[in-house]
Amino acid sequence: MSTDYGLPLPRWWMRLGSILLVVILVLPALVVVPISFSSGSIIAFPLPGFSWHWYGEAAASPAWRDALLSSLRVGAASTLIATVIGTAAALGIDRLQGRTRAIVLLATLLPLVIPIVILALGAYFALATVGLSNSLTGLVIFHAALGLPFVTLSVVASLQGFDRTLWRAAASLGASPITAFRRVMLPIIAPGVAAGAIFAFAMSLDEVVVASFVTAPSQRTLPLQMFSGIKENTGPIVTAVATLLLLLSMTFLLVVEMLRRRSRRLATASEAT
Amino acid sequence: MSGNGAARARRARLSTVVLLAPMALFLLAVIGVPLFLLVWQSVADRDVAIGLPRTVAMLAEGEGAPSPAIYPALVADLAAASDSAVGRVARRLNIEKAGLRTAVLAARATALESPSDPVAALQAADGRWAQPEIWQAIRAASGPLTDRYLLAAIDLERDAKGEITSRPTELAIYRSILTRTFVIAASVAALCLALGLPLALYLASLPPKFAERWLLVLMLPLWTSILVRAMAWTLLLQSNGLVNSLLQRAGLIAQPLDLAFNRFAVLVAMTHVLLPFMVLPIYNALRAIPKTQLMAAGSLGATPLQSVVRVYLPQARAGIAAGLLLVLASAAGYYITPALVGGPADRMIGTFVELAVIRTNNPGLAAALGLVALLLFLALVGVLIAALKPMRALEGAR
Amino acid sequence: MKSRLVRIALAALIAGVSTAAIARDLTVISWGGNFQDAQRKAYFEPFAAETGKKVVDDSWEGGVGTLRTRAEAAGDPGWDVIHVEVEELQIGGAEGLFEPIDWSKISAKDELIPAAQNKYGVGAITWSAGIAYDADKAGPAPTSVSDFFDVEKFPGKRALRKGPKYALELALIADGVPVDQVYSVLRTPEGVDRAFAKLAKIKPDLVFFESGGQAIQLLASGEASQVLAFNGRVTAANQTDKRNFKFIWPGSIYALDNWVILKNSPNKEEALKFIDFASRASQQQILPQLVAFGPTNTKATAALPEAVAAELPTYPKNLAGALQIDATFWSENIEPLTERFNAFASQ
Repeated sequence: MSTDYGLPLPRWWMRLGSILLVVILVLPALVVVPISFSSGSIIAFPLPGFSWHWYGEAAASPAWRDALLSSLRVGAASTLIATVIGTAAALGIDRLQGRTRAIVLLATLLPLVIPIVILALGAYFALATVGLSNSLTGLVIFHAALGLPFVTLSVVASLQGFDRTLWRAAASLGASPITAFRRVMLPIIAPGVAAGAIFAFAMSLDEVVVASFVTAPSQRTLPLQMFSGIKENTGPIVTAVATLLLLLSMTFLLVVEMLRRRSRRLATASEAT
Repeated sequence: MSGNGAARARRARLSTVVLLAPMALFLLAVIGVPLFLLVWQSVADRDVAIGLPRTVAMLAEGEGAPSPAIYPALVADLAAASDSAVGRVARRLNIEKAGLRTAVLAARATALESPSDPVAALQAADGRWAQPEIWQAIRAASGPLTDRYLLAAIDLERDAKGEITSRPTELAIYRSILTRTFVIAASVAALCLALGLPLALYLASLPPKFAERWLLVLMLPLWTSILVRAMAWTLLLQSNGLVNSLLQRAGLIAQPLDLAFNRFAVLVAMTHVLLPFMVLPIYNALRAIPKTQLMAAGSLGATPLQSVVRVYLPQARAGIAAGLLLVLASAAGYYITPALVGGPADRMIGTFVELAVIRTNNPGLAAALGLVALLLFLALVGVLIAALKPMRALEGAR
Repeated sequence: MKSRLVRIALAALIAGVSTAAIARDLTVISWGGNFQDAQRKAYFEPFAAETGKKVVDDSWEGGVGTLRTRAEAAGDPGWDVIHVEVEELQIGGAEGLFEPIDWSKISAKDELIPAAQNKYGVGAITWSAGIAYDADKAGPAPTSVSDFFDVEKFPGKRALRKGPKYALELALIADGVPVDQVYSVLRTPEGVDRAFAKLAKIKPDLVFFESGGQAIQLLASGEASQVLAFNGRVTAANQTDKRNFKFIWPGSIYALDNWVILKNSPNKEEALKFIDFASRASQQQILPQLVAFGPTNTKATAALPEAVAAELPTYPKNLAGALQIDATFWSENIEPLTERFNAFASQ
């Protein structure tokens, strides 16, 4: 009755329960999709008819376009900062062991384990003190902070498959540390860096609490625009944007998965050599 | 060669420090500084002292009603201060006693005309300048530190004699809101654990290739905008939503059930959002445990359930602790989902922090609410760590 | 590989930095939903077409605090023209949050009703807030404010705007206070307690919204059976979504909203030009045909067809039994009553 791996629970109901749970996890987000094709202007079922109208509205609206641009800018700049700092930190953590390593790893998680509204309030005070309130620059800094753990952890994970003898071999063959890094380390951690960066970017693209505390409304990010769209009842235009975001998320997810597989292949290859 | 080795070790240590330094500095700037400012703002009380320096200095000289010489000092202060400084004085005094804002603004207009008789001019501008209460208010608000915001954050205040008392019941709401915030966060964490632990156990029992395919599906909602999911749950749960119409069509219920805009909807939507944060760390921790241990336990006569509870779960406790911590932190701080899918009785502390800082211009109260919430959260995390001792498991890892 | 990374990095940096340097478009803030859609057609788009100055419109949920935060921030407040309610005009004017209106630049000044000519604001619309319900839903139709508070005879959730304004007035009217005495009762502490006590009786059935659009959404989704709604949004929902919503005029509350220019706006001149444009009869007569809010320009009112005029707050039949909002009461009491209301709402 137990599973191949020695777990004592009957396999069939574990499987059934898990399938059910995953279905429940995935399906609800999809109910916005049909609404986005509504020909009416109210977010409710049943739909009065089918139309592409709201996609046209979303594409034509300057508010939504500006919001998308703001979000892409903030996402790109904060991801860049998070990626540089996080990758360096991960390389540092990889050299640590035992208690120090555990403590530093926990420290990297700090931005995620402080309740977000408290971090946002602190950000509001800090940015006002240095004269960066109501600016996207301030938001970039704090989104970089929120993206940092994703990059660090993702690169640390990719380094776990890295065989250090390769590194030493390169060094003993006379390669400078920089050449050794570029030729040996970078190809191996690159998928991890990229996956972490995509995570950080996706986080920035979905972040609404810090954004609402530190930005001016003339520079609304996409989630803020959606939040206001939901609150203000601007109609199914929100669901059209949401559907497009769903497609984008799925693309992200597939890319990350491809990167992860590539990373594992590289790791196994390096073990084999 | 050994001297060379020592030099290399030193160089390695140095480069480790260099690699970690940017993150340390960055975290100091984006976490250390903001948290310090949070504490400072919750007790700072400097608006009046900065806006009205001469007046505050004169008031500090003696108790009781001030001498008439204070009127010229006030006129001089108000004439010299900037618009925004006067605005902050007005706002601060209005917090001390509702309505004083207009008195300050009237006095400011008078002061700018440089009146020859400040006493008469100020008292003519607003009758309250003839009363002793307004000077008491200025004295009470002259700083530099105050406990009024921290007291207000736990529904207390100082009465006229300076004794700490309860706030009037129709205004005393923050204790119940703080309690509610952590009750919701803890319920969500418990629900996530109850659902996530079996799921993680099942996934860990699958061959890695299959498990990872499942994880991919599990991650899908994590990639979906949190706002979209909140909107989706409203569509599903509202009284003519999909769930109710399905149940009605199936003949199970006659009247639509109250599913949306209440605590039930909040727990469902938040558990849905946060479940992956529970499953992923537990799954990773379970994967790291050698399967041979379970077999060994089995061969020593333990029942399968015993071997899971005694052998497997204790080793996964770092993963469980990480999951609980992530879920608790997110649930305590993310007030948007409850605001969208919950009712008025489900608003969390974040809503009130936002209200204080953005709508009602009361940064002191916002900071105090944030600080109290943070302290309660840290206490909760402390209990969690003491109970699960995740550090020991973490240190075992490479 | 490396050069591509560097290029991507540079592009990201430039994109991040360049956001700071863009000159800001004229930013107009209003109340969202189908009302703002109508304003876009009547004002924002024609103004942009005529002057070539781009208009960015955004919405807010009211509150002097929001205005104060912006006006007192160093530098650009981010907003230029704002559509405010009367007590916001009074408080903000007294606190110097707005730029004074240069009336010599408002060409239609003499056509505007006197109440629309203020030192810091130019009247934009008249509106009514009252009880609305869906006439297509089964069950008896409510006919008065009292029916809003009668959950036995008229079951279902009730939706109010989150805030003491209108809620306290409606509670007193439902409790039997004659319309002309509402504010004198509300000026006493007992009157405030009485209003909150009346609200407390239907507390389990109350839901709160923050924007006028949400009220319509709650009615449309069937989530609430009776909502406090703004009359123009009700007629607009009937037009565009073929709904059969009804608005109860007796006991409704009417008021005048104003356009103001936020202090330190970098677009003061364009802002004034916009307000001038929005005061013209030619533009003001477009709006009521889309949402039934009343013009402040008398020529625009005179030009409206009878069918449109009959839906406006200022139509004589609609004014019967209606209450005019007391701006002074609210500018004196909005803060303490908001605190008490928020405490009431969150319990």
